[in-house]
Amino acid sequence: MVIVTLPPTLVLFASGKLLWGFGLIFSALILIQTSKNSLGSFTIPTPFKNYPFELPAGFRVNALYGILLYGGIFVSFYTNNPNLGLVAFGLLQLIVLSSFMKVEDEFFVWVYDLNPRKFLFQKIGYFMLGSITLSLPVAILLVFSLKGLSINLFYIYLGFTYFFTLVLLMKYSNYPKELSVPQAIIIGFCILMPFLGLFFIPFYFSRATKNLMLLLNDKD
Amino acid sequence: MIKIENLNKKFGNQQVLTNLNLNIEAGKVYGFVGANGAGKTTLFKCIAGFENFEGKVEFIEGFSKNNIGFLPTTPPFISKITGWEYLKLATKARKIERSDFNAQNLFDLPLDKYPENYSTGMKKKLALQGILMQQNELFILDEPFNGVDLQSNMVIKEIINSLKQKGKTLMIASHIFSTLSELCDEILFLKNNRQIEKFEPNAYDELEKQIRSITIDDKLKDFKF
Repeated sequence: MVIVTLPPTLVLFASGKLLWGFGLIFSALILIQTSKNSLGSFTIPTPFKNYPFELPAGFRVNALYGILLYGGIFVSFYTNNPNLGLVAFGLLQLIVLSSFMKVEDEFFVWVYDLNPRKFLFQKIGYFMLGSITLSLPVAILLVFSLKGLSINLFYIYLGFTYFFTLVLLMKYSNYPKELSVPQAIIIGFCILMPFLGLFFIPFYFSRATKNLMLLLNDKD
Repeated sequence: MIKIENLNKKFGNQQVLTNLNLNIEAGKVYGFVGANGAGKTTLFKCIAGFENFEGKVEFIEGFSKNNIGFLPTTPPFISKITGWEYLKLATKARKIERSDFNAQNLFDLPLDKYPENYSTGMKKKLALQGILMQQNELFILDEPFNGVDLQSNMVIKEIINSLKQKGKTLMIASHIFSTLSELCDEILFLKNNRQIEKFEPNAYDELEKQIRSITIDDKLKDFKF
């Protein structure tokens, strides 16, 4: 965190923007404290308390990053800077996606009364729900304030849903192990050449459903 | 209710369960005893569907994996979800819609806090409450009395008796023989030679003698204090 914030802080100080520089240092310190679990025992309220663990846990772990990104989106609104808004919107999607990527204990797969197919569709559905819930207010703000952004926001949302689906299927095809290096390389190729997803998504869907057969129902 | 035939389980070259045959009848309480590593937890995981194995575990009379409430020795938890959200997850995953968790808080747990900050006993109590709220037919409890305070142990015993009266089936592994002999209709002894022996209440004294002779007598005879 210190390394990441050092160059922009120096640039801000060099250009005389002391307030912004100190603001950045302050934000970095808060984030460092958060990652050290200083809020460990404090229960952060979440709009996702009725949903499975990924959304409430992810919301709490990333709450401060989310606030910073919301801040970035408001800055883009006030400074009429669509690129900043789009980057912040994309990072917001990435935060929701990251909440689903931790490999959970087998108990939290086994407990579901679902077949593997429905289990996977439900995860994708919850990602879309979390992503829409968190990004819709800022998407509306961006669409109405910065003209011509709606199609870009739609592409970002679609892109992340595609990316999430691919990564989720890879995760459960390898479950309970972590993603492998070859899988990470395939993800890279699929981002560069999205049409590869037409092959890899059905392929990993089939592998994930077979892999989950032991822990979940094989019929429904 | 559950018919187990020729169940074999290996971890690498190590054979853990060998040709195990067992019938678990509905409405009964079964105790499982045996030394550490005898295969109690592995057997439970095979029945619940966590482990692959050779042989057959057949659920009959309409029972399935989704009727099983499984309490592991060390229940797993997800970081940054509250006790309330854990119970919501446990019930919703089984398609049971309820949110009366505060009203039904059997062990007076702080459900608005993260279980990662609970004590070992509190974690176990939360996991137990989760499987009770799922309204299961079969309860597999792996060391339910470990790490739990005296009062809660008494509550857990009462819960087991209540479940028995409601006709539920229980499989309990424990090292506390006196508690098992009080609660169980049958006790199954998993021996280190991979055999399983069944004991009914009138033979519990004999079982205790056997366990004693295997685990204590031989070792203490030659030990220099």
